Order: sequence, then structure tokens, then C-alpha cells
Amino acid sequence: MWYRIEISGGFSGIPKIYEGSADIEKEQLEKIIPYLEDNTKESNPNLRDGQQYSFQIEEGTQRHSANFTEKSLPTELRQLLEQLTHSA
Amino acid sequence: MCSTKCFIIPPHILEELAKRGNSSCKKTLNDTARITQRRQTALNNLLQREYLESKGDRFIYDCKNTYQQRVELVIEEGGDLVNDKTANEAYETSGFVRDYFKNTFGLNSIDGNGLDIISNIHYGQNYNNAYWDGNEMTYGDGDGKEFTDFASAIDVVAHELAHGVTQFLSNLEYQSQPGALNEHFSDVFGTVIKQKYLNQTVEEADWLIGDSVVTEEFPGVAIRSMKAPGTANEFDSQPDHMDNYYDGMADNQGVHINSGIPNKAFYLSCMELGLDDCALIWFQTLKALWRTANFNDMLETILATAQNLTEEGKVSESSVEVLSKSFSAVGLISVVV
Ligand SMILES: [Zn+2]
Repeated sequence: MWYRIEISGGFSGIPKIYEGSADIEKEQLEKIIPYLEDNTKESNPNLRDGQQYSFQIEEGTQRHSANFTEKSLPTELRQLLEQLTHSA
Repeated sequence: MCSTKCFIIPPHILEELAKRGNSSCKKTLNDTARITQRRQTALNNLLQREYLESKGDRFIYDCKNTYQQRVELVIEEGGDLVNDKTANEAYETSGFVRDYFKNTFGLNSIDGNGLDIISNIHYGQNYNNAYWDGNEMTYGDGDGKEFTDFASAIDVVAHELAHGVTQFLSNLEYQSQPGALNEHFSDVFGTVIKQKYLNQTVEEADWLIGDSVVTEEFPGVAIRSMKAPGTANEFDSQPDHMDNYYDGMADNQGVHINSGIPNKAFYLSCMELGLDDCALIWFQTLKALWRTANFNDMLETILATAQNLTEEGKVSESSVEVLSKSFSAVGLISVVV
């Protein structure tokens, strides 16, 4: 699986880009795909220094991309982010 | 006193009237925002009575490295410290910030009405951020590689808490120039309170924001510099002059980027007027601003505010001249003669 995840905004305002390939179990990937739907409508207008998250994932011929706010990012994608960027 | 007419005027017209100096409409706008906020807070607390009786008490919650807020209450106002350095420091620093606003400007907690000060620590895993969500603050531990322990940094805590103060005083919207001003006021009170906390003079201070949350491996000394915007780290793209104004769409149209422009003007002003005069001028200006105020509105408002404070004998007689010079140095020139 190829991925590109961009985190922008936040207190630092410094964008972070994580890009690479990872061996992800097919089962896990199938669980994640339904969550890769844009959810950028900010439910909290008073949020300050929240981060924005942009996901792009490719596996074979399948391509998925989705954007999220600090509050709308699903736990499943937070876990994937953690797994891809800090598991080493 | 606000006339009842204000309540039937659409917000965008109220804003225009506020911009032209109509204090009644400015008050209506801000009251409306405050009422909405109070209603929201009251709902969040379930009982309005609980909110009304608040005294700006501190509550420190441990998120236990989950992405949930308020997982476990570990310290509350007047309670014992615990075996967690981050919790103890978040308690101490949030108290210092609260007391600064109270003792300096008479502001009773974040909203001027004793709102409880709630801090969530140990949020998420390797979470490189801190934020204000309209009601409370949330801090990550950092990934330990480039960032660390956001809740222990006095300037970060003051920055986040100041977002709350801004929400209640002027409610600057979080995009483009009003958003950059929102960020600017948080950096202003972040650095002012840091200097007070460290007992530094303006000459001794480093004017850095977030220097204690970056690690040795981080390619830079801090997240931002108010003295020299654009130099804090190798990603720092803050301009220090309108000539280099960022007009892209990223970061809510550059709220953490273009804040470098007024930040530099603040630094220049402090070097001539001192920290306390500038803190008072900026605080009173924040109270006078409105949701859609831009950089030019900020300049006109701060000059009028400084003039009033000078006439009241509260700040240096050279304030208006120094402010004009400082803002001119970053490319913001007053059109009002
Ligand atoms: Zn901020």
C-alpha cells in the first residue's frame, strides 16, 4: 500500500508530510477504506490551532483520498497514522 | 447602552458600523457572541447554574494517551499535586496565566466571568500539538523526536488560553487577516506572560514562541520568533513585512504565517515603550476589535486606543508615535491623519 498523509495547521503551523509504502493486512485495509470519505465541515467554529489531515492511499488499482479536521478525524485513521508514522 | 435597533440589524451591517466606530453596535455584536458562547458552555456543563458559579478554577484531566478529553481528573483547584510533572506544570502555568489577566487587567478568568480553566494533558499518542476548542485546552506530549510536552511550556499555555480570551473579547474569526490577528494576540500574551514568568526584561527575553517544546533534533530553536519572524526554524515562513504577505489558502489563509507581521510590530513597540504599556495597549485594543477586523482596522484601533490611554495617563506619551513607527516598519501605515 502506498500512502501520503499531510498534517497541516496546528499550534506550530508547520506542515508535515508522511509518504511511503507499507505492508498492511488486507483485512485492516478493508476496515479503513469506508472511513476515507471527506469530512472537513468544522463542527466547532471556536476551534483554534486544530490540525487538518489529508490522506491519500493507493492499493493496486484502488485510489482513495480524504480530508479531515482535528475533530472529524476518525479514530481508525488516527490509529493508521500512528502505525505508519511512529511504529518504527 | 445599545439601542434595541441593533438587534434587528444583520451581523454584517453591525460589523460595518462597529468598524466605523459605533460602539453600541460593536457591543451588540460581542454580546451576541458571548451569549451564544455562554449558552454553548452552559449546555456543555449540563447545568447553567454550575457555569454561573464558576470562579476560574483549574481542572487538569489526564487523557491517558487516548484521543478523548476529560478521561481522568487528576488535579483540581486547591488539590494536591500528583506524581506527574506534566500535570503539575499545567496546573501551575494555567494558574499563572489566569492570575496575570486578573491582576493586570481585572479579567476574571478566560471569559471575564470566572469560566473554569480546563486542561487536558497526555492527549493522543505522539501528538505534536496543543489547541483551544472553545471551552478547554488540550495538549499532546509530542513525539519526543522533534516536539515534547506542550502542556509544560508557559508560552504555549498562555497562547492557548489567550485564544479563549480573544473568543470572548473580540471573537476574531479564524481565517485570513482576522485569523492572523487572532494568532497574533495569542503570541503577544504568550510572550508577555512568558517574560513575566521568567522575570525577564524585554532586552533579556528571547522573543521566541515554543522554544521549550522543540527537541535538540528539531531543525530550529523554536516555532516562531517575534523579534525575527521567519528565522525560528527551517520551515518558518513568517513574513516580517507586508511586502512578503502570504496570500495562499493554506493554514486558513495563513493565520500562523501572516501573524509574523503584527508580531514584529509588537516587538518593535515593546523595545521602546516597555512590556507593560504595550500589554495594556494590546489588551484594550483586543477589547475594541470585532470579528472581521483586518490589519488596517487593527492599526487604526490600536492608535485610537493608545491615544485614549495616553490621555488617561496610563501609558507613555510617546505611545502613538512609537506605534505608528513600529507598524510603519512592517508596511502598515495609518491613513487617518
Ligand atoms: Zn494559536
